[in-house]
This record gives sequence, structure tokens and C-alpha cells, in this order.
Amino acid sequence: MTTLFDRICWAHENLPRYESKYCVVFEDQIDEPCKVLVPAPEWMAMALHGNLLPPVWVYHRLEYDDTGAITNGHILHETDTIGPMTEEEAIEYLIQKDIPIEVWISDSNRPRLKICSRDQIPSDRTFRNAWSLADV
Amino acid sequence: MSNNRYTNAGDVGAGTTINNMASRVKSWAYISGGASPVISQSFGISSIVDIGVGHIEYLFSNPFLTAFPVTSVAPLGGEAGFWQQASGSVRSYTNTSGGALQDVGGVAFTSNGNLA
Repeated sequence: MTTLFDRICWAHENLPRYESKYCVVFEDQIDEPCKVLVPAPEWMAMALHGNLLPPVWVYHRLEYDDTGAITNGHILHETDTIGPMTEEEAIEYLIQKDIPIEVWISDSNRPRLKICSRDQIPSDRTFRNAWSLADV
Repeated sequence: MSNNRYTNAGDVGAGTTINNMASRVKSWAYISGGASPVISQSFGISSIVDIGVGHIEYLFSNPFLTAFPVTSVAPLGGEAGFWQQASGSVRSYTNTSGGALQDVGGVAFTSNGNLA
């Protein structure tokens, strides 16, 4: 069994980076500009290769003590890894891992995130702090 | 959502690489300019989030990786990213134009939750 860190090291040394064409625009605070999540090419390579990443639910089951230290980190290493993902599946995984849960599980009628291609992001950042989900 | 994240305040620049790193010191991530950020070098990062002007958030693949800000990457001006290490320490940086960057001093982070 290898640790997640070992697998990340292996991927860093052996896998070609994969630049995703997607990004995720989301709003988690109503009074703040929208945020843009960009997948890391190394992580995308791991996701597409398969057998390197734990299921996303593992991240949600990590437990923390009063100091913020993880007390059950072994599940990252011991849980069976998942197989290759498509690029779209990898984006869905990232949403669940890196975006606050209240954004992607919302009972609101108002959409709070959009998966879009990177060329849909405005090229002019002059008014970046006024961007909203409606702008993309 | 994993809780391991690092928010980097300040605009970022491109064009810096780090070499001469100690064993297993892997990482450097930054965003080049432009509306659509590009991660040019990274290790252990699952994604970055463009929060707004001058704010970027890095999210890690492994919750036992944390980061320390680099505040003295002189050729780029201002804070330009972070670096991380798994063991030992890093004291030498070189940018792509060949000039030595300043020793950023302190350091680090860990692969096991402890300061290196």
C-alpha cells in the first residue's frame, strides 16, 4: 500500500500534465464577486490516469480534533483508489472536493455555480470584483 | 471540501521556477497573469481559486500538505506564491533569468502535519 503522498510524488515524476479546458465559476457569498476554480494540471493527470486518488467522499469523512489536526488520515491511504475518470467526471470530483458544500448542494432556485470553458471567462479584469455568475 | 487551503494575497506573476531544491522538495505554484489563470508549476495542488483582485486560494490534493507564503520573490515583486516541502529545508532559488532570488527564510510545511 502506498500513501496518497507517495502517489502524488509518483504522478509528479511520471505523468504528463493535463490542462483542462474547463473551469468552475461559483458564488458562495452573496456580497462577494464570483470565484473561479481552475483545475491543477497535475491533479487532472492523476484523475485521468486513475488508481491514484481516493474516492471524493474520503475527504468529507476526515475528522479533526480541537487543534484542527486530522485524526483519521489513514483513510486517505487505505481506501481503495478509484479508476480513471473522464475530464467531466474529474471536474465533478473537484467541485465536491474543493468548493463549499452549500454551493453544490443547494435547495435554492438560483444557480450558484457554472461549469464553463476557460475562454468564457471575461478577458478584462478591470472590474473583477464586480463579476457575478451572470457574467459568464 | 478539504480544509487544507492557502490564500495568497497580492498579485502574482509568472516566469519563476525553483531549482536546486532539497530532496523531495517539490512544489511551487503560481498563477500567470491574465483572465484565465494558469498553474505553471505545481505539486500536490488540486485546484486554485481566483477569489478576486489580488486573492488566490490554493487547494491541496493531500490535506497533510500545507504551505508557507513566499514574500520575497524579488524579480516579480510582492508575494508570488508559496512553496512547500516534505522534509529538510529549502534555501536556494533561481529564477528563469538566472538571478538568484532571496532566501525567503523560514519555511515550511510538511507531509505529515508537522513543521519541517
